[in-house]
Amino acid sequence: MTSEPQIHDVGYEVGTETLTLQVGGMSCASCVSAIETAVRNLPGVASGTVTLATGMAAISYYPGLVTPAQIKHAIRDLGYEAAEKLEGAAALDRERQARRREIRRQGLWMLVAWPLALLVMVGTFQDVWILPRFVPAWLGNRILLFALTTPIVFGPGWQFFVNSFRGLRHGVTDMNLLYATGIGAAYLIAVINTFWPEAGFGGPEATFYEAAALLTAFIVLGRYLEALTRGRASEAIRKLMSLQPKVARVWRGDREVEIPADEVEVGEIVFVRPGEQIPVDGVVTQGYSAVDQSMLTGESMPVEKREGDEVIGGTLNKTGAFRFRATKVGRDTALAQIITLVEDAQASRAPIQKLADLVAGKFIFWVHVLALAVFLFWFFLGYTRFFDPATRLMLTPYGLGAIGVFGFALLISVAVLVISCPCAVGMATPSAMMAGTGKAAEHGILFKGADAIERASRLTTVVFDKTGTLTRGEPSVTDVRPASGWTESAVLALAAAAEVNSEHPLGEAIVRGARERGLAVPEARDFAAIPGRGVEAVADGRAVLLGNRRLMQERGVDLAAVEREAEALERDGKTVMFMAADGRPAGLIAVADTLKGHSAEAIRILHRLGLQVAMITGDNRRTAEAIARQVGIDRVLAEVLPQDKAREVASLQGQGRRVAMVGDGINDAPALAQADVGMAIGSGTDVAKETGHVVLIKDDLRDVVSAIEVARATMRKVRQNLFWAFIYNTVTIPFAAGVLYPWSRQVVSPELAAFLMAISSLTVTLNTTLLKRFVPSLHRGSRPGRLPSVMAPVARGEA
Amino acid sequence: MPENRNTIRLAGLLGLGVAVAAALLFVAGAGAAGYGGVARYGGAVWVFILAWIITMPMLGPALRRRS
Repeated sequence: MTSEPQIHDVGYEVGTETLTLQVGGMSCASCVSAIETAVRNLPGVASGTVTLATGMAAISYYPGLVTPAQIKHAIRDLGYEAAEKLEGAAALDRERQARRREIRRQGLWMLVAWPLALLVMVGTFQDVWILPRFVPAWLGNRILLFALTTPIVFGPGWQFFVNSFRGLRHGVTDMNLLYATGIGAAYLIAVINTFWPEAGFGGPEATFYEAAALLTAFIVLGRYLEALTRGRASEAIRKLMSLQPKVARVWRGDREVEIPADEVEVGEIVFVRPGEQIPVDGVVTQGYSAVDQSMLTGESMPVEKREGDEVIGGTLNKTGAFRFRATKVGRDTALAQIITLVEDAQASRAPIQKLADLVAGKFIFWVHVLALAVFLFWFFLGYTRFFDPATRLMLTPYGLGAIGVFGFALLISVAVLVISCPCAVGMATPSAMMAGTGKAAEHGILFKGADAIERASRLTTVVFDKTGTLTRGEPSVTDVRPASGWTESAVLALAAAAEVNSEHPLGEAIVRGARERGLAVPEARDFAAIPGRGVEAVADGRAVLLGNRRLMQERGVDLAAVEREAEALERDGKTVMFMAADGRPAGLIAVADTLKGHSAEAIRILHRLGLQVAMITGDNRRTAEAIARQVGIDRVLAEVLPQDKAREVASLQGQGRRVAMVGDGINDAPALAQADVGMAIGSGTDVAKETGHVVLIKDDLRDVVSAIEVARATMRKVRQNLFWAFIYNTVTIPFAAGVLYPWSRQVVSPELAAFLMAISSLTVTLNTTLLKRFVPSLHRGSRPGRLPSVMAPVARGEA
Repeated sequence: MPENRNTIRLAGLLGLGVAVAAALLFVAGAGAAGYGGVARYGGAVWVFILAWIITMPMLGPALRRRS
């Protein structure tokens, strides 16, 4: 078959399509590996990525060579459910139904397996310890044990045989095969020893019914717990989805009608009464109300909304009735965009996870190799050299007695198969990543992928864009210095009068500054702009001249009295405007781009976290260094053109630094893309269009700190989980393989192996749950929101 | 699809051959070591199962690479 690279070689592009499927019935990393292998084996499939934690499969394929139906068929053929991903509420419903079905199925099997398995266990050990006093002897009858175990193996246990057979048909081996071989071997030996005790499989002393029964029960318990955990892992998305309103009341024709919320069109007028949910995003056109945004922000007090204010779909109107014009509907609403981003992040795979999945996938193969090697060793060498008839199953009083060479070697081989299940390895990374992305979303931080979390945890340098990121991005009046005989108010008021018609940013800053100080701005006439110099006008009966040094020099104004102060202000990076009235200096007005609130605090904490903080700007060095001094930044990259910012970031990376670039995402998109982690700040409701790897909805630099803290906490949890999963396998496999047997005369029973395997998965799950309690340092002590508060800044109008 | 199915089938058959060979080798070894019929043939079945499981996924990708 002609391959894509060959087609590329001859100068053509190969068009691919992407199919996103919801896959049900996966339980561990080996399921992921099995599905990926089966799908990639299909001719026409370019790539396939399956994510266990979200139950999603993203498959890229060449239309014409393979169809979505064939892909779904291949997955179903392995024993898994496969359906095309739906959007919004439908996806939520289907996912919930599938999860409930799986929980119900495994729960039902638990009800069958556990009571019977416990009876089998009690029956098997009825002559041990004090049990003879309570357990009737007939319960230990081998025919009865056979009768009790058989429904377990062919009921709850049958799924493993069916699924492993389906896998083998596609040339893949998975965990089901391990379970099937373990359960099958234990059951078969028990049956042979029951009905043909002289066959040489250990005889009546070696009926492993309780092994087959408990092994099945523990595996089903593991599956049940995993089904429960997976449902809870996507809690953040589910909560966000549950906020999506169902109905809206709009004006159509000449009357008010109630329609489904997803049918509202942009520009339509929507009515909201007290107690109703706001259906889509929009801008209030009439009315006044207080809106409860606590379900999104955690704020206890309702937020006032009046004409011109933005309202967000999903929040709850409290007191008044109002109407608003819909600005964003359907997939464009802020809530829908956030859901998509969080979903995508949770479906993505971190590099560390790819490694873990690869290991888990290869593990199955090597486990079988090890099981074969162990079997051959104990068959040909171990049994004759070390076997002792007093051998017991570990942690039980159950002796192996006269078990034969085959039964003994098989027992150890099966224990190795079962104990090696890499379920915990497969869950370790995705479960922590899901918890981490959900936790970040609660604080208005949207990671676009698991790889962004991993990279954010390893940062060494944070580079801030200056204008619009560290600073407000618009000039404002910082100092007014009156000349002798003048007051600050008089200077500013007169300057504002001269600038009131100006469209220059500096002029606007002066007018705004006067208004903010509550000054009465006198009327001005004879206004004239002098390009590159300033303005002149007549106000309050005086000829006012406002502008730079050159203007004053050209008009013969003597600046000697104010020159020293002007130079001092300029040294601080401020732009100084001189004002003269009737040809004599009246004062100075300094204008500068001011720092945003919390900038200095954020940078102080970043330093405390051990990160180097740099600033990048196109401004001149003096202005840049003045800002850097105020905020405590230790490295300044000044006079960098917008197109060169990415090169500066690359240069830092070339020095071995792992760099985060924080910008507003407008003119620094290339730098955000170049950085190891690009953080777009203050995106507001337009989260989806942002460049960068992390979107910070709020315009608050402290979220950079929170993002890094959440990323570090998540990766800490990933490493802990991988440690627990791998240490479990590393430590227990040698035990199961009988390394200690020559000294201990004890072997690990298959049911103990299954129990340890379940404990391993449980440890990882519980450890991940602890991440939900993590609170970034800047949020400690504040009341957490009841639901993900990703919209907090938008709703407060900060974005 | 048929091409893929054929590859899997071929891998399965070749794996089967390897597994049968391994089982026969085991029977011979166990016989030489003086083990009884049950141990010999029971062990051979287990060796056959594990050997087949091991070889089949190895042969599939190898065959696909060759084709």
